[in-house]
Amino acid sequence: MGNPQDLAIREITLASDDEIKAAIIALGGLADKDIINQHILNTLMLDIRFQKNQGREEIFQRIKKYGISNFKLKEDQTIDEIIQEVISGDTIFLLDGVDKALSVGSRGWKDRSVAEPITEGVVRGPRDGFTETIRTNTALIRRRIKSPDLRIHGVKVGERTLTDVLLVYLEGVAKQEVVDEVMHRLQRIKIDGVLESGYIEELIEDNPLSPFPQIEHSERPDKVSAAILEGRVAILVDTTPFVLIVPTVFIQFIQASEDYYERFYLGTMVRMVRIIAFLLSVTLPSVYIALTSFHQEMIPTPLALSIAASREGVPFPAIGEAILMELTFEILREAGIRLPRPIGQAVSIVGALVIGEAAVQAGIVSQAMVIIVALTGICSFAIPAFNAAIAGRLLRFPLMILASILGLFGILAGLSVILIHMCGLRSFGVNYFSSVTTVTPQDFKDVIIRKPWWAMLTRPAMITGDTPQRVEPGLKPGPEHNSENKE
Amino acid sequence: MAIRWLTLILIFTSAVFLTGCWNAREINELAFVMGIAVDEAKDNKVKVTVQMAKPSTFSKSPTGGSGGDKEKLFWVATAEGKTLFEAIRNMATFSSRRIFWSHNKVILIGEKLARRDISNILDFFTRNSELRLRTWVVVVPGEAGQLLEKGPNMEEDPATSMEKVIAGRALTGKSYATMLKDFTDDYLSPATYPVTGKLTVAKGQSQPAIKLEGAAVFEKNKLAGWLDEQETRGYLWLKNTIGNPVLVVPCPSGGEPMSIEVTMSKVDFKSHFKGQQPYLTIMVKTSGNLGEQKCNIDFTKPEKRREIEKALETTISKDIQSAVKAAQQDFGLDFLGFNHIFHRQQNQKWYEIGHRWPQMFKEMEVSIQVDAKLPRVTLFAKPLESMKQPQPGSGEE
Repeated sequence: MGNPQDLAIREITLASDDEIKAAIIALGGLADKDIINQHILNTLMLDIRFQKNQGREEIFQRIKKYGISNFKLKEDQTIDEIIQEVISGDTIFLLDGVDKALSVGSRGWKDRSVAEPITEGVVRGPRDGFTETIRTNTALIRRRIKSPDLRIHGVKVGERTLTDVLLVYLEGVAKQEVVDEVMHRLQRIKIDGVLESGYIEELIEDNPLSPFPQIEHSERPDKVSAAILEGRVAILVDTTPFVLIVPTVFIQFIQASEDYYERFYLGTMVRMVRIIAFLLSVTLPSVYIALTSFHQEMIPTPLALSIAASREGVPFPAIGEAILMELTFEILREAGIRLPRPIGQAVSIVGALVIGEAAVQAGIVSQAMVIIVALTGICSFAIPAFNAAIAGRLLRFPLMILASILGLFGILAGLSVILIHMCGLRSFGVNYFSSVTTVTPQDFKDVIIRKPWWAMLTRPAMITGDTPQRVEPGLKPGPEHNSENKE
Repeated sequence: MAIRWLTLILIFTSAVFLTGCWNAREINELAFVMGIAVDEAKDNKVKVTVQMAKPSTFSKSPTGGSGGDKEKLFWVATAEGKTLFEAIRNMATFSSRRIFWSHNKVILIGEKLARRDISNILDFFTRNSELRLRTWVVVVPGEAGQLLEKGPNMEEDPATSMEKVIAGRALTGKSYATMLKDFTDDYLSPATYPVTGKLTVAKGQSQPAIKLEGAAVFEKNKLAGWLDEQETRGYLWLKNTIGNPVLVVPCPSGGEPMSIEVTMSKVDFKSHFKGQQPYLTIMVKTSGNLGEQKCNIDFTKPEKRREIEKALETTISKDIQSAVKAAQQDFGLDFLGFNHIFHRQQNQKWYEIGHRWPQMFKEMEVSIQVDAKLPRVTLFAKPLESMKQPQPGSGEE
């Protein structure tokens, strides 16, 4: 380990005449000072006294049994183990003359407390979010799912960072093959370090070159718990609040946890809005380009005339205009994200609009194009999953170029390629579109519409294993009927 | 895998870029044609008048557009040529923008040309891929081109206002218009005579306005003549497209007339033969609402209501008779489509008599049965005037 500056070694004596020497080793900052003081130093130095003539081994065992009042206590045999424990924040107790060590659980570093997740805010719903500490995160899930069937398996990933990665799933609900596959893929990873779950995501994805994310992430414990209850596997990575959820189907990216808390009418409507927003964010600029430069006959006459009027005197073709504005918008958005507060995003929108306004006044771009770009931007914000919105943002540009060359034909060609690609994607054995193009119609209950809870009878068939039943049939509230009349 | 994709992408992109943007044209490089008028010119030439929208003035300028300069929102251009296509292409000699036809609303045909031959017009307009078949075709008595200059009163340009006038024709039931697709269908059908609308300048308006009135009947490729408003209404009844016009019905007791709005109508035909003579029964079923009345009759009584219904039946019957008379006597053309009814209903016999139809049609007998109902009794309030008069026996109430 070298001799790091943050390594604290405290030598103590156990008997009165300096005979029995012992040492306590811990890393400053990672180990909780209070635990060391209270449960180790206090008892060893003040409460217990040993006789000189006692055997060293006996003393060691007595200390293990009576001396250290800590819940987590372990006997270490090798230097490697000891180093591991120290690095992880535990405290090591060494006794002179004994070739073993005691490791005392004292992990307690400064961590962020459970706070509201910034990336996934809700109006209604729990406000706790995952933190960077994996222990806290498992606790947040355990607090929601108290079933003894909840399984948590751990792997250490990263040869240098030795990051804890945990698999959390419900035994009997999740498919065992999926769990095994996830475990297999995690164990395959050989990398020096894992600093965020994004590393893991990219290393276990089915199609790493696709612009579409095939693994969902969330920092909301309720969302992750819901996924676990559906039979998915959550992958928790230490030092990041973002938990991965597999298998993922595309439609998950337009579902938000709030859909399930508000009335189902709202959930359904909002989902449709999000689907429209996603489609618009991908296609709107390209459709505009295609219509205004190829298919003017498809625009209603008054609209055609007002678009023509707004383009009067604009020096660029529609594609030039569109790329100019989209690029400006992307730059402003990127700049806004790096601004200190989330307000930065609002600032960037305002900036885009102000620039747009000035550009229109100067006659560089048309008003219609500013509307299109602004609408596209807002549409891409309406998608709950940021990573899916990025896919839309990226694909917009090739579609725009295709539209400028081949018109609607080009857009269709581009969209076909995208659609074929998406249909071919798989996430841990589950088709990416399986809930949309489902062969089991009951899975459709939670895709575009969100059925009320009393009608969500089964778990998604493509994900769940042997126990599809979720809600008891006949729970729809209403006046009491005779039980014979019920189905 | 990656290489395969890369190759595919390369091939695709290069193919795409090699084609160039041959067909791309920005929307602001186009001149949107809103209406076209075709007239006969000297030396057997065709004169085309085109009304195009000027987009630059179309948008409402944010700095208060009600300034002094009242620039016209449209531009009317004229060109001549030996053929219609040539005439239209000749427009490019003075139009700075490419003339774009897809937003055309109306095709006006001048009377002179219509009386000579319209086949070339139909041919050109249906052959051209840029033109829509849902364009209205109307005939203009006199010169068609001058109608495109008549200032629109509510709309931005004359063609749009023509389109709206045509679309609103069901409110009066005195006029008719056909779209290019139906007109061409009728034209191509061997036994159908196309009928379409007639556009004129309305008289007695403070500002020049466009009026759709009556209809124009074609015999094959030539204009045969006009239908007046009553004949047109009869034609509409027979074509089952009467809409919701207001009918003015004389008061049964001889007072001032009343208006009845038609709400529902259905026409059935029954064909017979009396010996070798064709005989057609036209059965009209209709219902309406009383819209306005100054007859001093108490309509709440069923027998009185029946009188109005009778009067309405007579009115409708007269309309239809006038159309039949026009077809049989004035034109001698079966533009009412009776031949189709006989063809359908008397299929066997038709093959014997079909070739003699034009003559038979002129002599055939037609009987008209109208069944009119005024079902909504609650609207039968007594005339407002009669309420003022003291009702005998009504007491204090």
